[in-house]
Amino acid sequence: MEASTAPVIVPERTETPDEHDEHDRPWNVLVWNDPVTLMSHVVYVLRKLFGYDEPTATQLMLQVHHEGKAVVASGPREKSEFDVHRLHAHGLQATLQRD
Amino acid sequence: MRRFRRLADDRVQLRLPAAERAVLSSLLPQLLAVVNGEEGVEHLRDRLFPKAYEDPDRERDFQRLIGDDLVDQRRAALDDVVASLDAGRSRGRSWIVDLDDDGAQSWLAVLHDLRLVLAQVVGIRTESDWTRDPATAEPAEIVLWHIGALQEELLELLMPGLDTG
Repeated sequence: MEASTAPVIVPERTETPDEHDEHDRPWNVLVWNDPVTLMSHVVYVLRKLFGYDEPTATQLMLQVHHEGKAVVASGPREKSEFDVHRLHAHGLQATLQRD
Repeated sequence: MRRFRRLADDRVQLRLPAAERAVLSSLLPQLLAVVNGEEGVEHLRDRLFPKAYEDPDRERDFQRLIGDDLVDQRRAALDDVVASLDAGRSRGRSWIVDLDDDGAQSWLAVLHDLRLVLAQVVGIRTESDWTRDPATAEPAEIVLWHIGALQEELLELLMPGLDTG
């Protein structure tokens, strides 16, 4: 799962039909900073849902805390929507975005 | 005094002083009203049901896809917590509640949801909105701190379980 936080390399295109973009470009799952949510809750949820080890989850939590947001996963739209839904169910503020 | 502890049989035990049980018991139906979107408290739902997309069309499709799932999950967790409190027993001046793993997860979800809603009530939108002084904080904020301490304790107990699967 750690690999999913790495920058996603999108193959260079000579043509950019929207229809292809819709299916090929990965969606990022972002978690946003919230002044109410406990830091330990963010770490717990990221570990539980994505299987991150403790240092990775802590690093992502600190990125959320200090930078306001972090990409916690990325992938096809359906999978990313499922991830966002699970994050919402665990009380985190999460959205989907494409680069 | 710690409220949550791990029992030898791996269950989690909660020991609530009577006053705290009373506060929680009064908050649970209020949280249910917010989850259900009852009139007068709709404005407190934002943090419980955040948007997934900035784009309104995509957001509408997403909401159509998930339907009432988030509401149902939150109601189920609340039902669990209410049932576990009802099934508790008194010991001295405290109320004892034993929780299996699912029960502990429901408590974690509900304690977190309570804080999200109480923060809306208190008006905490940024870190600097916290009063940080018990002498001047309003009661809702003090309850918010206290539930945060409960949640922190429960997370400490549950975190090691992620290593063992």
